Amino acid sequence: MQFNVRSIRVITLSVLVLSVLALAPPAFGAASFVPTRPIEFVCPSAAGGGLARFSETVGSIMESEKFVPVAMPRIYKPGGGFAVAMAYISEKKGNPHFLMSTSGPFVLTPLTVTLSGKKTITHKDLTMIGIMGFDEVVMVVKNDAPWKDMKELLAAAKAKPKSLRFGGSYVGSPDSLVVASIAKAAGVEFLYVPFQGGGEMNAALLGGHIDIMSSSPSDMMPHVEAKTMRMLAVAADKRIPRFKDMPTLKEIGCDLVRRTHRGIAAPPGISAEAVAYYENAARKVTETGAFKKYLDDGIMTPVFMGSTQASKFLDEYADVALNTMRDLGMGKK
Amino acid sequence: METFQQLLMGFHVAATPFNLLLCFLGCVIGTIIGALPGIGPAAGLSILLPLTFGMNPTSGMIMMAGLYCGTMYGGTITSVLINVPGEAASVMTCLDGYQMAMQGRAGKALGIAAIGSFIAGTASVVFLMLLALPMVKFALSFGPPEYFALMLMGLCTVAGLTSGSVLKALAGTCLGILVATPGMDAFSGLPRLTFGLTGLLGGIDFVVVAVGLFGIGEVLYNVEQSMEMKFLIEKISIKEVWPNRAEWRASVGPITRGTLIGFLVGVLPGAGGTIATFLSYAVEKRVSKHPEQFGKGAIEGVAAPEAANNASTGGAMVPLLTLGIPGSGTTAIMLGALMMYGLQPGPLLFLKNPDFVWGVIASMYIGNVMLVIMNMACIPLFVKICKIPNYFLMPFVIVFATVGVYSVDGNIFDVWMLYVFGVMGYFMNKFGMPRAPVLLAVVLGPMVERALRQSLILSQGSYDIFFTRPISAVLLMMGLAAVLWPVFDMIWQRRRARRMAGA
Repeated sequence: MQFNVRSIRVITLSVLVLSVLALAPPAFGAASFVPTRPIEFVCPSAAGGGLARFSETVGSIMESEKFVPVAMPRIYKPGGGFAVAMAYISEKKGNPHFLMSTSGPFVLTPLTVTLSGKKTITHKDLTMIGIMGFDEVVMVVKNDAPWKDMKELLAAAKAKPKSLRFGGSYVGSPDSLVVASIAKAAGVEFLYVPFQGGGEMNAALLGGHIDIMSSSPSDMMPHVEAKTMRMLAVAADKRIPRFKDMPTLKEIGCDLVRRTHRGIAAPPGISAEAVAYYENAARKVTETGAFKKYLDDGIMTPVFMGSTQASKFLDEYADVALNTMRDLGMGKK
Repeated sequence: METFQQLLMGFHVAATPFNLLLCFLGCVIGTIIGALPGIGPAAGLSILLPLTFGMNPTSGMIMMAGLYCGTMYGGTITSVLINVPGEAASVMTCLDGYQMAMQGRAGKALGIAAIGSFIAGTASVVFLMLLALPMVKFALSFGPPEYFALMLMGLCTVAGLTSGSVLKALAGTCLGILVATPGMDAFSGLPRLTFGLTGLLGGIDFVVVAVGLFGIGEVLYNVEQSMEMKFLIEKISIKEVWPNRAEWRASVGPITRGTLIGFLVGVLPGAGGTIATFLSYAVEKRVSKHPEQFGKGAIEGVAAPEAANNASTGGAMVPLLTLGIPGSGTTAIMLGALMMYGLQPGPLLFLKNPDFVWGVIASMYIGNVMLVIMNMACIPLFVKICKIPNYFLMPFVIVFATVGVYSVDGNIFDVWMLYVFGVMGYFMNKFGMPRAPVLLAVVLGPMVERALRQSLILSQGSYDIFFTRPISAVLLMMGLAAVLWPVFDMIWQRRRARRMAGA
């Protein structure tokens, strides 16, 4: 009997141990990754820009709220439309102490840029952690421009092809694709003038050297308030709450939605535990008041997509963009 | 009168002990950062930025404005003493400043630079205060064709700047444009002349070229020379730093003209301080009664560009504060900072946050006063660098140059490029090729290209656009005159020489 009791005990114990062993690894595993040294948080564009603001905000929230137990210094590696930073991160294969912030060019640059003798690093080569917000794209004209709304402007553009000068970033940039899509959807032709940086372009619009440009609502806010510029339409799926009077492109007959994401990516080949860890940290950041204020100040649309969902979103974005680029006669086959 | 009241309010904001301390700290850090080869105002601000986030916007901005002004003073120190321009705007100071140092007049060069900077900096703050709104109209009238004409005029004057052969200067200009070509094409977003190197995707940074050609190049050149002291030793007291009557008389004109040019060009977004410095140098060389002394230690050659450089800081604040449009890389970072503070830089900033705007303007004024006192007091100390024997000083220059260049983008590729340009600088020195044109072309080349292509898109391929617009037509004429002047001058002198030989 005693033996029996003992054997029952042994069996119970071993079942317990086994079940613990069976259950524990995932449970322990999820917690098993914790960064042990400072995380290099790479910003692929220059200090002072929109993505730099995102990087500073996310980095400082992660540090101050202790979402990561280590420092997260922001490192600026601008150049090559993100290609420099992406190459840098891809070289850190499997190292979970590197992160980078991402936006449109993260997907678009690899579609056009090849470095001879090198494999092109695409968004698929890096590990997407999550998407944390959308920056909308608005069409802006000078306040005293002759067109009352986007419809009038498109009609004017149609009446006289290539008469309207549309300012934007380099051909192949997120905003250039928006312009190309509008032109295609409305059947018009613009004179597209690339500028380097928003400052130069704002000055050109105010000086009357271009007629219309695309920009983000937050950059336009002060000009709209001061009544020096007017926003005509937004390329979002519904109207921006703060600008209820501004129609979407969809409403005026251009069926397209284009927005720039703000997200985080990591080097290729990092463990599933590390991905889960950062995904969780990023989610927690989006739930803080400081981040909500950042989105609200920047008139951005809140969203959270985890690793899988974000990768899928970017893949779809890449497909749409590639089609537009082929229409423009660029992009790789 | 209203402006005056607002300025008083600004002083009230800026003159709290805490803000004064921040302004002072900004000035000190700025001077040190400016003096370190390779680290300019933009890098300095990025380093400082996270530190200011805990502060209220006004205090943070006051510290940054102090740092901005400080780097302008600091950049002069290395330019004069070791011939390494700390940033693009101090290239012109090297030409005569370093020569003055070699002649034992380093104290005088630094003195006139500090005084000129102070006068110009102060005047530009006054201009900013009084003229900000009318100046904006002027800045906005510059479209791509006008920018193209301005930059092209800049490139044309480059050849006339240096004392040696015009052909060599032109060759240097072409070399500079070539150096500026690799990188991402600003129009198609495609890599150009990168030879498959990731390091070249971002283009070759100005700092790499400047520190390489001047700093490392100078070190290599000096290795060949005697390792003994090459500077004439001077005994320096503050009294001797102060310019004497003759030097005053020589410098008043250059400082005044430099201030005006600096402010005007500084107002134009994108043009910035660099063009202002060498336009003012070119003007001085042309109006001078003894142009042959330029490049050989003329005090005007230090006073004018330094004044222009500092006046441009006030100018650059005009589009930043009135339109929310950054005029330079440095002000772009300040703009980013404004937004991080939750302020909306734009046309309404003056109305919505007057205490902020006028506080910053007042602190720029206070910063200039602090800097001139600090610099004048420290010049005797700085000049002691000249007494360090070369075999100690030169290795330090290499170390600082390497660290400085690495810190720009944290890219080791830049360090290798630095050494390549160092070797190039050595040979250019040997062959008597002027190095300043290369640097100026590196800065201007991409701007010229961009403005030209934008203009031609706007005009749908017609070159008429440059001649039918009054501002660009006038600027192009001036550029043409700048190119033809040395040619006519040469012909005229040859003819005179022949006549002399014949007689």
